[in-house]
Amino acid sequence: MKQIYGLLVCALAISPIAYGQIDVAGGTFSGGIESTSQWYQTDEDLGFDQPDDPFRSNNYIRLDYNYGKFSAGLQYEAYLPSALLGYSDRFNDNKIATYYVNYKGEQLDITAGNFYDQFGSGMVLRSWEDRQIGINNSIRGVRVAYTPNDFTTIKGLIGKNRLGFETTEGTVGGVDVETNIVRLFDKENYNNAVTAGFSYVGQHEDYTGSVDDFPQNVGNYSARLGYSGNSGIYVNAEYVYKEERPVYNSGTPSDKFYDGNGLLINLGYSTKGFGINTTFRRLENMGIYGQRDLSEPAANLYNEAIVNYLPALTRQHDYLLTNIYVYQAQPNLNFEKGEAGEIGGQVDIFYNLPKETFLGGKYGTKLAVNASYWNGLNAKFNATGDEYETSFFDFGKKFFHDVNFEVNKKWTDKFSSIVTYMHQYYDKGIIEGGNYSHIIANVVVGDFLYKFNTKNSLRFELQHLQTKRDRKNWAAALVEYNLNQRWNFYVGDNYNYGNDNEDARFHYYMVGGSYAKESTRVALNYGRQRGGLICVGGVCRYVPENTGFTLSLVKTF
Amino acid sequence: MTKKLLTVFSLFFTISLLSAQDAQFPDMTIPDLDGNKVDVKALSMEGKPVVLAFWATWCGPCMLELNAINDHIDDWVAETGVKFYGVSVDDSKTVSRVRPLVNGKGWNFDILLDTNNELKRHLNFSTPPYVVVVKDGNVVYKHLGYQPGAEEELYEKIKEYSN
Repeated sequence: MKQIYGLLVCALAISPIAYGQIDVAGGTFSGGIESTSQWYQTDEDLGFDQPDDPFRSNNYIRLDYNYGKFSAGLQYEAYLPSALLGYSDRFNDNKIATYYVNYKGEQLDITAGNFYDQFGSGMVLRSWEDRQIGINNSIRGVRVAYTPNDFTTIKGLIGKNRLGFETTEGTVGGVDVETNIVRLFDKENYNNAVTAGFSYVGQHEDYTGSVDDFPQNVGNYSARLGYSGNSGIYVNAEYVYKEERPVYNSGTPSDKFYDGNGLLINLGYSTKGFGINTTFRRLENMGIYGQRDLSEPAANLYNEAIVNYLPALTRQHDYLLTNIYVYQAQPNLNFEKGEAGEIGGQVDIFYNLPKETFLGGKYGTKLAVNASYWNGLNAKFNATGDEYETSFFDFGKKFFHDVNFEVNKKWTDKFSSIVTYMHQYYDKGIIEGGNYSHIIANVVVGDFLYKFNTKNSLRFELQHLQTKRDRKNWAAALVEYNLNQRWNFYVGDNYNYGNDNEDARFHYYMVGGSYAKESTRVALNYGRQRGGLICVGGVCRYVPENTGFTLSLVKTF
Repeated sequence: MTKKLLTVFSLFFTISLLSAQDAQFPDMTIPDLDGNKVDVKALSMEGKPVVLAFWATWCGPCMLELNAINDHIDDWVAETGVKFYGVSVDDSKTVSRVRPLVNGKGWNFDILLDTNNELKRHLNFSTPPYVVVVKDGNVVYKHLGYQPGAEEELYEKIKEYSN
């Protein structure tokens, strides 16, 4: 409570000054607030009972103060009376959650307190924040970055990952070097870039149990190389090795230890009007956690204390029905299912049919194709199930595929459309757990925009999902009206009309509006949330089905 | 508990009254698609505004916004001398789609990469679309979200700060 009052006093103190400029003692203040509140309602049709705290609210306030080369800041978080459904119980509190002081000179950047960083693609280390899915694994400790020239960075860091309002048991420390080899030899050569990088991430966590030779210190290594040039071709690759450590099962560490590795290769070409990118990735036992007992997926439902970032490399869709069957990367050893990781890839192609051609029409037509394909590693486990073998390029059980096409066409100054078709294969048993057979789904989405004038427009979505399994067919529609550049109103519905159980043919309706001006936005919604995975950037959290009101407020200053 | 809630909300209310102008743009460089680091603050000192439009490959409204801006960008640059960047906040899940997408859509402006969202955190917004206009090292205009036609309002601001 004292902290809240302290902040309130701070805010009041700076508010009168704020009307001109937030200048305090020669420095400047900036910050942002974000608040999302839900009021859950009992919904007998869905079988959703109002939870003990029917009103829940997630609130974030960030304040930064900058004075020349120095800055300092904090983030206060309040989950009152408790966090929204689908967030970890560890958040049920209100406190200053992160804080830092920073010095940033010409070449040296030093931070003490909470910081965020990423080495390479993040496969060996990434700390970041994503409030929508309740992720903040910022590291509390010290970070030093040295930039001797504009193409080289050397970083060193040590600390503990955030876990709820506390930090993890384990400590993580790392070093990362990245440079452009071409400019190392020819400073003025901006035509071609060959980047090379190396990272080491060490971890320490005390162990007091009885397993012999238990590794309290473990290391992880990353090496990477990239090329891009004027020809339009680019390629980059990263290899990560994770040293041996135990695997947890029902909270108990194994007495055998397992290492892991990951390989990521990207190859692409692009020129004006055309672009293609292909990605290959293989992950074997590649999850890295800041606290050992959270390395067991069943003990870590909210992706807490993760050290590295292993997103599903699939297209991130943004329509209601294209997000029912969403792939999640399967990087971990799973003795129960006999899996050791995943292997697969994806291809993206973008093409712009030029203006004034037969297919392009007056305004041009934009095409996008994406296909992804993910499999298990075909691991052969021994009879006792505690050892396995895999060969490097052996594709095992199929987990997922997605082939999708998008046509984006502007017909007139006022009217444009985006039509998407998607064909999916989804192994629900692997991705969500439990015993299910795979699902094949076809989704079609039409998204139409009509502009009445520069300030008012109407957007209209029609969607259909066809599948013979799971909850069968869905239809969805959404209408959105944008008024005067400030107001937005929408009404929508997902209807599971194909469900075999007629009593379960639910409508997931929603209605809402928002007001936005410059850097402030307020929104109010009412409706039913379809339960399932909410995924942002390839990390997902499970949200139970619910019904109720949502109020959100965002402001930056 | 009610007391706590009231306190937190009154804190929010107080803060939402802050109408700070001209916050300094952070001292940091942002890499372009070839890894060259761009100093936005220094660019904004050269007399013309710098516009940063934050977007992501998975963000539908961002696509609408940048496609609409792309229809005008050549005229905007010719008439005002504005420097315009599309800043991708795609993380490593989708960042490999940025380059082919930008070329495939035929966008005529430069792209910067904020892959681990360092700049996004400094500017304190949580999801794109988000647009800032930077002039003389200060953030002079910002806009959250996109509604069709908002590019007209942005262009009015660009003209205002070009003189």
